[in-house]
Amino acid sequence: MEPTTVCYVNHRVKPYIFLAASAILVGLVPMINQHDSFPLSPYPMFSSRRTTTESVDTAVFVTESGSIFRLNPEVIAGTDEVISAAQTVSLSIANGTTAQLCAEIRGRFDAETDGQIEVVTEVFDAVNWYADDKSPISRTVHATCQEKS
Amino acid sequence: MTRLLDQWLFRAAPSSRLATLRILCGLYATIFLVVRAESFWTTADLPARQVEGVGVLWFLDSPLSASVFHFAFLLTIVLGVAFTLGWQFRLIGPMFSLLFLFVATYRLSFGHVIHTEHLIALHLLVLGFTQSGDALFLGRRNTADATGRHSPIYGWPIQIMILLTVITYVLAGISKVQHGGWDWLTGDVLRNQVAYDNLRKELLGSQHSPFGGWLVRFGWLFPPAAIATSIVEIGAFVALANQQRLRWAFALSAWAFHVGVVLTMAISFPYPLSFVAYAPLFAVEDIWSTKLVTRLLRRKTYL
Repeated sequence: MEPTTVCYVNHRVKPYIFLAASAILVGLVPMINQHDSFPLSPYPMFSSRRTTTESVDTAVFVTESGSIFRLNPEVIAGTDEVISAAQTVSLSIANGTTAQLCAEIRGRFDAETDGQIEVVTEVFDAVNWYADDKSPISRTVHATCQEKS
Repeated sequence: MTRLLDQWLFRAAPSSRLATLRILCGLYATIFLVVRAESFWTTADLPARQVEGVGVLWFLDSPLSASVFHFAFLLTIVLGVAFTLGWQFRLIGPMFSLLFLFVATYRLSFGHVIHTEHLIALHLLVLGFTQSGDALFLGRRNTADATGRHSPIYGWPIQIMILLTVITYVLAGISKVQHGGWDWLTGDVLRNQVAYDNLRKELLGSQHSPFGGWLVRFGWLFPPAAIATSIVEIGAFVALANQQRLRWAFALSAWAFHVGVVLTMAISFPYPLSFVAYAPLFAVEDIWSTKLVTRLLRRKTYL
């Protein structure tokens, strides 16, 4: 390639390739197909049409006396990302692998008292929760596994 | 049309501006990798059934060997330092930006995409594949000529970085109105979102925002907050204009929006919060002539 041709490609074509890629791949495509990926995304965070009543998939430790202890994302899913932990529980419920998840959580959890780990879906009125009404609307247990201290 | 596009894209800039952006973004990305090292490292130990490849790893259906990923992660940090210093940039620039893309993609290939690394990954790709290593680099002493060069070849990558920043905000703004509809603008969706997000964190034993939970009691606060959010995000396109007032208005309001997200939902977007995400909007090369920096670099300078 002649030096002038190289110069032309670098100075004119390359910027337009970047411009087109930015506008089409990063802008237009995610907006049309609404597929959340990386690094291309329609950035759907905080956009779900949430109601006050929402369900949360999680895992808890229930002592023999019935007290409920919340487990953190590291124990639940081996990650410190809360959203990833929630997604891990939701996926295991959807895939029917809650017993497997329960066993994995038991492997990461060191209980100080006897009780059981429960993989649950809890439904709350989120706004009422912050008005001090913390009773669940419903509670579904998907899997349990015993934990000895 | 082409003439207008040319005028916008081929805006001349000093080589030191693009190089300063390389240093800021490289430094940010390297520090981010070090600070979040545990999260990246433990990704390799996540169960195989969680693998759900995204982006450039869309084909992934089983995890990589832990040692391969750990090696790639450590190499990315080392290359991040070299990228920041501008050492052997023709080779290191593309390598680091692609490796960052790879390790960040792999971390997000286990069931859920979070949105903290999208913009920095895109900015690094622009910096890595352009002339951002022409000035302020380690290796041989920069000549005044190299540092002071003023050309469109240093300007267009900055324009692309600005465009990418604008696109991310506009898309986020459109998503909210598209999915949340009128209820988003009336503040109902936002209020429920703040309540749900904090509740979910409490139920998952994670750090949440008691302040956000308390705010939920005051429904009247949310309509103006929702409208302000939409104005900041959809109105981000004003930053495309080469007017410093508009750019400062966008950058400061977007930064304030992210501070609000931290305060009400304990969700941190570190790239915009560090303000580095908005650096392409400004004459960042001026930081080298501030008293503090000149004092620090007095003994051995590459400027």
